[in-house]
Amino acid sequence: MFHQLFHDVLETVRCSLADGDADALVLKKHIQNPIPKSQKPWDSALLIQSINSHSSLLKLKSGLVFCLCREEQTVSMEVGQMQRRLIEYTKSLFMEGILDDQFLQLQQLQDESNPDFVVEVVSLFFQDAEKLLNDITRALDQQSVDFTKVDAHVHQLKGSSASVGAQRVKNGCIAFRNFCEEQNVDGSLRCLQQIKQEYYHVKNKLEALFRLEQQIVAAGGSVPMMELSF
Amino acid sequence: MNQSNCKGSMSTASSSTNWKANDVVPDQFPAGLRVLVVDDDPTCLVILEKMLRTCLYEVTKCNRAEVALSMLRENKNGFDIVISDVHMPDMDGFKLLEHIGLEMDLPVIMMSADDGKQVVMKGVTHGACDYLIKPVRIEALKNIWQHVVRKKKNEWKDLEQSGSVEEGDRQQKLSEDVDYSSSANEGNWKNSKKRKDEEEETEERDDTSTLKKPRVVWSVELHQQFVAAVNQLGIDKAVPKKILELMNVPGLTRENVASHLQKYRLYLRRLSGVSQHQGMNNSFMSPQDATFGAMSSLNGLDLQTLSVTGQLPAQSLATLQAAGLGRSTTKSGIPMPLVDQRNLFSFENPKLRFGEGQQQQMSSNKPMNLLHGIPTTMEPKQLASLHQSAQSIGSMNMQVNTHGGQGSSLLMQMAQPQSRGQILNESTSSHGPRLPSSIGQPIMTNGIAGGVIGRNGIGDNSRGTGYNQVPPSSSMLSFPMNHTTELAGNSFPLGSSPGISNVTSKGPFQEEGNSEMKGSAGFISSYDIFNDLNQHQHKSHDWELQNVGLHFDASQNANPIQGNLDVSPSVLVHQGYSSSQRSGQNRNASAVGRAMFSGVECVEQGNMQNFSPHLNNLLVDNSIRVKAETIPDANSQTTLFTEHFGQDDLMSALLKQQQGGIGTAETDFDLDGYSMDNIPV
Repeated sequence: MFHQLFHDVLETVRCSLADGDADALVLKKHIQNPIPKSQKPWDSALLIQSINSHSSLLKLKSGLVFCLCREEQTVSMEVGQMQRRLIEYTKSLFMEGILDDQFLQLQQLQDESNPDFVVEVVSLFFQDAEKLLNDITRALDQQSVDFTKVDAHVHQLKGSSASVGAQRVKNGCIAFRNFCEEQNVDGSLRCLQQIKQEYYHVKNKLEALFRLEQQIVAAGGSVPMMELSF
Repeated sequence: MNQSNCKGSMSTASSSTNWKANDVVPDQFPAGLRVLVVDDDPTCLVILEKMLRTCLYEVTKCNRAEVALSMLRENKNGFDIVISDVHMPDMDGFKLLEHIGLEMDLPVIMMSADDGKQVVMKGVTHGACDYLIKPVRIEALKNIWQHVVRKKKNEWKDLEQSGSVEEGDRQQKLSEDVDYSSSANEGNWKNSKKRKDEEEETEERDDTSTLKKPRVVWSVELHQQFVAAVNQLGIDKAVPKKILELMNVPGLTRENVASHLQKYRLYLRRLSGVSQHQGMNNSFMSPQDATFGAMSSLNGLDLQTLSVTGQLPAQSLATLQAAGLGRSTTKSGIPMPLVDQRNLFSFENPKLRFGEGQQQQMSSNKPMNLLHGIPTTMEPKQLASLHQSAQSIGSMNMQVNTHGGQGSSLLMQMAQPQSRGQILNESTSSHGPRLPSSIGQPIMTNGIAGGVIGRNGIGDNSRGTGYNQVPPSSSMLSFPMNHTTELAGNSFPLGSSPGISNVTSKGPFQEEGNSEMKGSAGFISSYDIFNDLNQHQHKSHDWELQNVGLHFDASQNANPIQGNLDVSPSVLVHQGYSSSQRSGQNRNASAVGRAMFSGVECVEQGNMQNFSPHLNNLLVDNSIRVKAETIPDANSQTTLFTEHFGQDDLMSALLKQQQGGIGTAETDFDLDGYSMDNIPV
């Protein structure tokens, strides 16, 4: 990680500064002044080497420090941005009714021992749902539709979508079951279409959400916990 | 082996037991609750598992109902609660619910995305203890432990109501449930018993008072009717509706019968399972399972043992059974071999009237049978150890059983009283039957009494308790009073009685230490003792009384006693050990008494040698191998009482007592108005 490299370098520099370097005071003053942006990121190993071999090179030291500080700043700014973006995004999903409170429950279940819990569960849901949707499509495609079977499939889809918080999909299933009871093939087909749409919609949204999370983690940040404050 | 398996599960189970009891380890509970989740939806399954883990439960997930059932069957005590989806492809969730309820009697929570009223109602009618709507929230899962506790409480309450089981037994019951399948799990039993002892007092009142659920109390009578109906229909064909019709009890619903039938079936299954592959020893432990409350009570055990040995008179069985049924199912602490309940019932013979039939009974073979079981092989130390702990009783029983045959039956009988006594003394017996203690006493003090009590106790727990209690005090008292002179020189037809008393005194109840044989003068001393006994009375003092009884015997070195002692073993038997044995048979008698009392133990200690031939004659099986060597102490001690009381005298005295209805005794067993006569066969 770019950021990581600089972090290491920065640490090295700081350590050397802490050794009671006579230049420490001067360096501190320099740290206040931002380094021009044209400064290139240096190879950390080289940098460290230079620092150690030229401990008395105050300028070099200070330059490095500035550089690193800036980098850190930038990165943290980026991470922060990403986190904010994530929160906003998740909020919007809730507002639109694509996700409901159950999704928050899942997030709360996630912890250090199981950091990918939500992703795993949602992936399971995707697999299961797609299989069910296919089954339903096939069942409705039959000459004589077995609505008991269709109903069973829909019931299961309802259960699993409710469990992950895919609210719109769940609602679609509820509507679907009414058509099943009426043995209404056309109505069922239409309903199925709608459910499929909702399903792919939520799938896209969740996948985008997970990507954001990954970026934050990659940038060294942590995924913020959603709160039901909206 | 079972035990190890149980142990394995015990380690979890013990912790489970702890938290199941909810009183023992409140901090841990409900953590560690063993949940089985069944759902064909993988997403839900994973989510539920995670949620339950977060609640600190032990989760096993399963996506097929069949697999879940087999898991439950393999590991009967492996789970505490089951959560199952309603709609599953391989088996309907409600069907699974039924299976679990019948076979394992675990609380089951149904779960579904369907929240229609009908489906929920279906869950209720099928016996689900809760119904969760998907998506399930973790908050809903946090509280599922309440169903486990509630179920246990209700079972106990049921038992309590019907069998005067103390709340304290609950823990024991719980632990029993856990390790009922582990045969010689005496340690556990003991521990649980201790636990029960400690807590029963405090908990009992509170718990009973808080349990307000109105339930059908399956009294002894009711259960007798139920069993009669079931037997009439045939166990396989017995359906709740028909049973209900046959029983013709107003106010009883089909649901009541159905649930009772469930438990009964489970109980039977356990019985057969246990008796088959386990020795008597095991059977001792197994009866303790509380699934079939009534039966597992002491009474049931007694009956079973007796029936197993074939010695138990039908009446005894009946009474015992009845008593057992009425009583708590919890282990009375006396591990008794499980005998097929049907056998027990078949043994029922409403002839358990000591009052009338005593004499006859005494003379009949049946009483003899009682003595048969007196194991002569009991080692003295066994006796001591046995008596001193519930375990010992259990082991005693076990030994008794190992002797098998009649001997065991006798032993069992004897043991039971003793064990009961012990239990009572240990204040464990929540069961009505304070009997044991009382049983012990009479035996001790009066050979006959002991015999009688033994019979009483065994034959009819409910009654027996009454009797037992009565005998100890009453018999004691009565005998000395009534029969001082008479008995003095009489050879007791009961024979056993003297022996019993002797034996008993010698027997487990600290006989060794009973140096205070007051009974030197025979009656007089015994009388005093009786008085003392009376004062103590029942329940808490049963043991004391027993000891006292022992004392009696001990002090009696009297020669006359000797003659009586000979009879001792046959106290139970009634066959009256001819007084021929008397000569110096004190020891024998004592031995016998002991044997009688402690069953096997007594025999050992007593100087059965003299008796043996005699006993053999007397006893049908002569399984009582009264050791020839008499323990010197025993001699003196045991002879005291027995000698003075002719069997008949004692019996009549006892009968009188019993009939007189020592209130306490009777009431202890909650058998008010329940007479042996009424025991439906």
